[in-house]
Amino acid sequence: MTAPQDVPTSPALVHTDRTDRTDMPRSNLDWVTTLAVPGPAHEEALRDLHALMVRAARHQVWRMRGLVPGIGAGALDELANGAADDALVALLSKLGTFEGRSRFTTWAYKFAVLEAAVQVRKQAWRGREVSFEDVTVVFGVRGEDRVGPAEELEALDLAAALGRAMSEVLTSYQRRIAVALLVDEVPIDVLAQRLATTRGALYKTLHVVRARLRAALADSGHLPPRADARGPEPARPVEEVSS
Amino acid sequence: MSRRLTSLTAGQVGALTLATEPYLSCEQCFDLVDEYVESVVAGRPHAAPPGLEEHLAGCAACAQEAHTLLELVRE
Repeated sequence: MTAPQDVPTSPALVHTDRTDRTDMPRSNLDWVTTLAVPGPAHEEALRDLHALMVRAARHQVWRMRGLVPGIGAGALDELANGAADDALVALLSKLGTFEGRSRFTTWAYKFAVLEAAVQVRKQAWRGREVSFEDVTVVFGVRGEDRVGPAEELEALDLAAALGRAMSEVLTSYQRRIAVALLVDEVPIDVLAQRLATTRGALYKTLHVVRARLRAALADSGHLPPRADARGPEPARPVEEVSS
Repeated sequence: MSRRLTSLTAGQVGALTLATEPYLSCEQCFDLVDEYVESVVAGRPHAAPPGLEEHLAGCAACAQEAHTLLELVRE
């Protein structure tokens, strides 16, 4: 494995990391220099980094194991190890971009977490069909969500207006993406793979879909008219976001 | 022939109409999430870059990964 040679030298890299669970804590600068520059410490740093990434990948895989109920512990571990291997390669290719804005281990974890999550989602949907046909929207709100007559009427009115907006202000492609991601709950990585596009491109489409729907609902009086008005579910800190 | 959608849950209605401005891409979220998670652990969640919390509310995959990262950093 070849490591990049451009080593960032920001003062922030001097921060010592004590969360790496290796015998000897390394500073951010230690991590970057030993990984980037061939030498006696290089192989040891690579081994330690791989161990960190396996740990992070395992954590993600076990957190998502409910999505792949037919897979045993051994196969889950294999999946985590494979994800850690791929994540290590991805990290090393971006080592020169590390700016020391976080601990190196936190920065490394995110590569392993991303790769493990993507692989579990793909495994969970392997062999499953993804419906991508256009939809005609004629709907209300399901019975279990009705909490009382007034709320029910309001919800049905909003849903009906949303249905009209989906038909009128979205293109067929936008509608299919929105339904696949938010109604059928196809994971974004899986949909990206099936459509030969990227997660980023799909999220951008979803962002435009939401903006168009909100504008239409504001025009019809179902949402506040302000362009920057909050939606029905305001953004929440990450620890409150359901996973 | 297109498929007919005849019902949505309240959660789906909320997800379809969620305000996710200012726009932040999944790639930008990935770039920023490690620093953000450390700020949450340090008790400074309001230090979130513009658009990051909106992105996490609107992107289930990024939110799931951010949550795991938070758990790992807290351990």
